Formats: sequence, structure tokens, C-alpha cells
Amino acid sequence: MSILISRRSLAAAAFAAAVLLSALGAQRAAASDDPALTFIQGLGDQAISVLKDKANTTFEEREAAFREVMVEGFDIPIVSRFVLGRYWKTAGKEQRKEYRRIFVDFIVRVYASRFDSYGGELFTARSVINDESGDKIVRAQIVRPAGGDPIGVDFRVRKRDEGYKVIDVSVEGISMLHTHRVEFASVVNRKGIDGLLGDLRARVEAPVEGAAE
Amino acid sequence: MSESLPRQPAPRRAIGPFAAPQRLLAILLLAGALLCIAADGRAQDPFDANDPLEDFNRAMFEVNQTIDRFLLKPIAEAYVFILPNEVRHRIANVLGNLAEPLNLVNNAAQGKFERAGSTLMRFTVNTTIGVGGIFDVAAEWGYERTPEDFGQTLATWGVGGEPFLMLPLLGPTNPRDAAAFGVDWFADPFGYLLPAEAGLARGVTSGVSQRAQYLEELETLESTSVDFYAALRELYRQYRATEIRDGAPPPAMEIPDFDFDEDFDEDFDEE
Repeated sequence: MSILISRRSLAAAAFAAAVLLSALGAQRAAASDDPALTFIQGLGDQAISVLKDKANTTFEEREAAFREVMVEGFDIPIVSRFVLGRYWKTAGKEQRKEYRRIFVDFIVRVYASRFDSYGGELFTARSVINDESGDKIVRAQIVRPAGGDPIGVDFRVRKRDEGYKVIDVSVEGISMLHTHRVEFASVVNRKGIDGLLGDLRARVEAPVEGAAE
Repeated sequence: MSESLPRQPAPRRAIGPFAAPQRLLAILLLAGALLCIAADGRAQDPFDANDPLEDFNRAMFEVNQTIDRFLLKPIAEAYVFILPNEVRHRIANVLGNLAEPLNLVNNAAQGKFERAGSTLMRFTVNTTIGVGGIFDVAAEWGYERTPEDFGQTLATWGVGGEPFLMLPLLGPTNPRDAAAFGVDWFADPFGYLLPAEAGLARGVTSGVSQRAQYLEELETLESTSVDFYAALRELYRQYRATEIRDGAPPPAMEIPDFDFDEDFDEDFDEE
């Protein structure tokens, strides 16, 4: 009981700190008017605000909210197809459909659980690089309230009719697209496309360990 | 829990107690043999795994996983449980300070003289005013840690990092980095200056401290990947490449716009 209470008040304190920090972050971002920068700052703030309220939400609720942010902010058709690589061409229509559906569930589960342990982070989009491919790379930083080295996150964004969309995220130089593509290819090589679909489904349906705080 | 520790340089002494000279020699010989494989085994598709030793590597991965499950991870967990964050932070600082001479040499060998100078400054200030490296005073003065090892030096000299190699206890590596690990090992002045017991203690602590920093990360990676080995292999490669580039963003990767109408249907966004 007392553990519960202290956890709550701790969460309240962390929440207050997060609000304060994200207000500061927003101010800092407003200094630059690159629309890509503003877009990423908004996306990061949204994701953090969705994940931080651990006291009053279940992991499932946070995951559902996180999903909305991701589906809205990412160009999922491009991401999912790129990640399947050359196997997209060999996949049948039903397999593609199933893959697209399960890919969103998978990617949401992966990143919701990876970031769910966070709380009170300061997310700041800091600069924009015009990539030679025509995309923009928005360089951001996550500063953890407990201290330690800030984490560098690069978002590759592409202009769409409806605004900017994220097509890749790199954490400390490690690309999400690249990593998943190689990982998926390894599974398809050994088990075929249906094997990959089965493994992805198993991951999505598995209970979340350690996410329920 | 453990996220506030500064990142440490590569775990040079992580296998301290296990690395008898014979074993090191074996690693070097193996590395030499593998460099020959590296010469012809290059894949054109950057997304191909290019892992000619995959069967061997996966077997070693299983061995490492077992050692980790029953030995390394429990010790790392106990380490985190027993010692407060602050103490672990200080220990990581001391270990990091002991790595500075190698950082200095490797920075200089790569022609990064400003960073080498900064490293010298760090080592001097932190060893004295920072009480043997317990306090990272130099960082507060603006001298940031710039970790370099001989593997990175070889990379800047043009030695490639393929093929991927999973070694018992050493973990994910490649022939270049495994051989360079041995070179760093012999070049490290503290290997000679510290008494044997202290060297051993440093090796063990370094391994545990290093492992403790990735407790949560590795657990989440394992529970969210469809192929843990392949995910780790890719993470290692990209992490290493980032270290070699000193944190600069990777070269542009072409991500084409696909024509979806041609082979795709509209019912994707629903649900």
C-alpha cells in the first residue's frame, strides 16, 4: 500500500517535471521555423505525453495512443514495404495484405515497449540537415531526467501532400528500417514469408513483459 | 533504473579473467584466417546479411546466451541491486579513466590531434583533481570523452569490418576488431602497471559494469525481435560504424517511393 502511494507521488513529481521540461523544449524548438523541425518536435512531444502517464493508464491504453501517433506521423506504406525488401516482390497478394496489417501491430508493440520505461524525458529537435536524397534529417536529442549522456535520435522525413511523414528513425546512428530489414530477411531466408508472418504474429500476441509498471 | 550511467568505451577488459595469452593467440590466428574470407565474400546488396560464418556464429551466440543467462546477467543484476546508481556511475568513471591512454594513442593514430590533446587533458585532470577518475571534472570543463580503440583506428586506415564474427565471451565482433582488441590489450600501459590482482579486478568489474548498462535494453530487444541474433548482429554493425564516424549521421540510404496503386489496395489504414 505504502509502496503504491510513494510510487504515485513519484509519478506525480515526474509528471510535473516532464510538463515543465517539455514546455522548455517547446520554447527552444520555436526558435527555429523549419517546418520539418516543428513537425518532429510535435511528434516527440505527443509520444512522450502519451507514454508518461503511467499512474492512470494501462500499457494497452498507452500502446493504443502511441499507435495513433505513429500511424499519423509515419509513412507506414513506404516503411513496411522497404523493410520487407526484395521479398515484397515474391509475396502473394494475401501475404502482402497480412504483412501490412501485422507490421503496424509489430512496429507499434516494439517501440511502445522500448520507450515505455521512459518518463520525464526532455525531447528536443535541434537541427535539420538537407539530405542529398531530397529528404530532411531532423536531429533530435532525448535527455533523461536521471542524467547521463543524451541520446541522439535522427528522423528522416519526407514531404507529402498532407504534410511531412517520418520514413526512418535512427537512434545513436542505428537505423530502424535498416535493422528490421536485415532481421526480417534473416527470418524469411530460413522460414519463408509465412514463417516471418507467424513470428511477427507471435510477438504481437505475446503478453508484454515488464511493461506494466 | 540503470539508465543514468555514462556510456563506457568498448569493454576491452571485459573478458579479463578468461583471456589467457594462448586464447588470444588463437583469436588472432582465427582473425587472420578470416581476413582471407573477408576478401572475396563481399555482398553487393547492403541489406544482405553478409554473414558467411552464420552457422558458427549462431552456435557461439547460443554459448554466449547460456553463459549470460547463468553467470553474467545474474551478476550484473546483483550489481545493480546492491550498488546505488551513484556508486555505479563512479565506478564506470574510474574504468573509463583507465581507458584514456588508449583513447589518446588511438586518437593520435587517426590524426585527431585536438581530440588526443583533449584526452590527455582529461586524463591529467581526472586522475588528479578527479581523484583517480572518480569524478569527471574534465567534462565539466568542456573536455568530453572521445573513446577510440584500435579497431576504429584500423577502420580509418581503410581496413573493412567484414565478415561478422561472434566469439565466445567477446561477443559480436569481426576479424578486424578482434585482432585490434588484442593489440589494444598489449598496448595498454595499465596492463603492465597494475598488479595482477588489480588487473583481474578491473577486468571483472568492467565486464559487469558494461553488462549492467544494457540490462533493460537487451531484455527489450530480445522480447521484441523476431530474430534476436540477426537484430544484435545488425545493431553491432551499425553501432560500430557510428563509433567509427564519431557519431556523424550515416551516409544517405536510398528509400524509394513505391507505386502502391500498382500492387496495393486501399484497405490498409482502416482498423
